[in-house]
Amino acid sequence: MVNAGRAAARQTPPQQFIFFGGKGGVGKTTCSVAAARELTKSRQRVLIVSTDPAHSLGDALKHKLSSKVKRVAGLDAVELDADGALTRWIARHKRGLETIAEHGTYLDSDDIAQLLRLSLPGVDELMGLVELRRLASSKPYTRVVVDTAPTGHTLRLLAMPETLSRIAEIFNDMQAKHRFLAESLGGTYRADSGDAVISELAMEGRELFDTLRDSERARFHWVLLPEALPLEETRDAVAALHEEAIAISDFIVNRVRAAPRGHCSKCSPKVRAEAEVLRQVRKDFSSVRVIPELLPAPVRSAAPKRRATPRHPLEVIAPETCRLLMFAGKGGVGKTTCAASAALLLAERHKRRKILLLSTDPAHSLSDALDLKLSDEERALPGFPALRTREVDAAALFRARRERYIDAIDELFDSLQGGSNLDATYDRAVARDLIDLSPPGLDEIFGILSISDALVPGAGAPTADQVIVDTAPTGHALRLLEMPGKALEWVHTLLAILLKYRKVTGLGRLAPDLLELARQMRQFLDLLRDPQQTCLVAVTRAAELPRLETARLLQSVARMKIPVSGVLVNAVASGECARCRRVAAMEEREIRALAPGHAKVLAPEAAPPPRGIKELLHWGKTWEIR
Amino acid sequence: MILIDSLIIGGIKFCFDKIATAVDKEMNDDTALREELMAAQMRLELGEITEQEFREVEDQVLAQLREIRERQMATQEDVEEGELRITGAEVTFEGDETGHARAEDIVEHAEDIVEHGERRPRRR
Ligand SMILES: [Zn+2]
Repeated sequence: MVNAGRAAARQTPPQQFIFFGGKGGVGKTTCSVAAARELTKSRQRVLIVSTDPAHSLGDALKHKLSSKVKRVAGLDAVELDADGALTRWIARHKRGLETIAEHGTYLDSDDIAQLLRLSLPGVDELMGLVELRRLASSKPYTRVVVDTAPTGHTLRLLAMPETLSRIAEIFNDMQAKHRFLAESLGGTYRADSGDAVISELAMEGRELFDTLRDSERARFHWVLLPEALPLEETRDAVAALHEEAIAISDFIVNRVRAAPRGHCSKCSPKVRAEAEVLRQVRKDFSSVRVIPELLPAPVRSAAPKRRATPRHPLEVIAPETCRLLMFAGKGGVGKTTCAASAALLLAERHKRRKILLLSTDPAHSLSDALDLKLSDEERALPGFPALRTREVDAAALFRARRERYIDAIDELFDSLQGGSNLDATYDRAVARDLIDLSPPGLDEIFGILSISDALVPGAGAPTADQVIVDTAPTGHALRLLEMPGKALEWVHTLLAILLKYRKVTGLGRLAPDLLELARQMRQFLDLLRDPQQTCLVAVTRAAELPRLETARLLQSVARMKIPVSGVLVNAVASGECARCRRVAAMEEREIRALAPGHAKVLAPEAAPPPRGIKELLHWGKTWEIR
Repeated sequence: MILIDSLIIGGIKFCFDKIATAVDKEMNDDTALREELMAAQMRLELGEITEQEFREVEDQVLAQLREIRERQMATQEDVEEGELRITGAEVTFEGDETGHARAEDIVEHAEDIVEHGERRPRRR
């Protein structure tokens, strides 16, 4: 960050960030790589960065990448490591942070050191842009191509400059009392290491905010597939970015299918539907580029073994005892349609089972898949009174609570008026600002609470017999699954601090609440690791990049000891034209190489994808066990 | 979700309420004992003490609580629930729905402890 100014001064023309955004699985990574390669041809010095915690940049470049910049075929490439970046950032600002905490809280340096060691939820978003800027200024790059995480989290990432500024404000409030005291004791106040952290954070927030809104310094390309739902999601994202005064310069419609020679039961309707979507894209957006589908090199592969099994795949991926069924995987593989179909099929088989179908992806698509208006309020599905569904809206949940929190703060400080006024004035500002800051990682926090509240509530009976979760794309689904363990670490640290100060402050109501949270999280962790009760289904496609990502997902999940009940291969080609036969041969090879040792379920390609309860039920019945 | 609310509000209160209110909080025997039990539960959660050690503390505290209760019974024929609530509410705060629910829990909890003389430790 220090050499950002120097680097910028050396550079002509100025450095430009080129962001590739879009739903998962639309080919952001491939497009980013193609663009980066193209730029190196015009003598640009290019850095390509992936900010998705589930990196697939290395797969696309066919090189193992890490958080250290690596030279690959004429361009520099790096996969951002947010946790590492945060640790480094904290290490670099340790003294300043400790100063602020000592001035603004009643904790001592031991407590603060303990707290600083804990990992934060939402760290990918919080550190993403800061680290991106650091990497970009490490060498005089003229173009920085950014392969981002799927939509929902990219929107959070782009909102982070404001969060940084707000954190600076809170820190500033925490220092204010100290400054006032120093000045009132005579003498002039000299800025300390705490103030240095504050001004750096504020500067960082401001610079990033401006950079994102300057079309000379940042361009946004939106990648989408020629399908109806992605188009709707694109419209939502464009609107959300527009509200933030961020403009998308280019739209890339990827994998547009060529018309088959003769008739194909899959390609013919697909090509028609795509033409309609393309017409709408051109109508809605300017600067649209169309990239045709690249067919795989022809391969020879044995005819697929079809095994007629009397059992429906659901009996394998969601056995009777399963209470938590999660659909995880790369963005765009069809997690939502799979989760919705599974929920409907299960509800049809078990009329009385209380099933909750929950979406924890901030870029919800459950409404679209079910063709129903959903919200954060649970609602029953028409014809299925025991099947309820909900899209967790973390921002709204937090907004609803903010008022209550602020009232509690005001009440507290009003009651303190008798005491030291000085403390009350400054502390009230800090407390209010803290609540105003909607912290990163809210999606994961409220996501996990919604699941655990339904299954292992603190009091009373569980509200659902079974919860089916449509998770966010891999990287953030893993963040969600890490939450119970992280929450437990936090609770333990806080309990230790509370115990230490109990003679001074008493244990108050905080202690039983923390204990209760610990108990709930531990119960939930037990459930999460119980193969009888938890079934994670990895949804994927029969292609190389999804297969590689699935392997990493399965590895990470195994490390967390979360049981996997199967791998669902979605949209398996089944048409009869030359294109479909060629794709089918490639897919057959991929399916064989995919996830050895796991049960595999194949779901056929539907063109267009199933939408609405009737179509989803019908489609779910065509799944097969391999 | 209710839990997260009271946690956040409780956390803020803890950070800012601190010494100011703690100093004038006259702890009676009852509250002190209950805090002792809570602290033991926290240590158990943190793995600082064993289940066995926890049970010993618990037995001790419960015996003392029983003693206090008997003393109170002797001096005052019927203890109003409201009076117990005051001790419960002292460690919480009022004017909030969840706060009341909590205070009542604590009272109920205390009743359990006093009347049945035992309570299963939380499962680990
Ligand atoms: Zn075809």
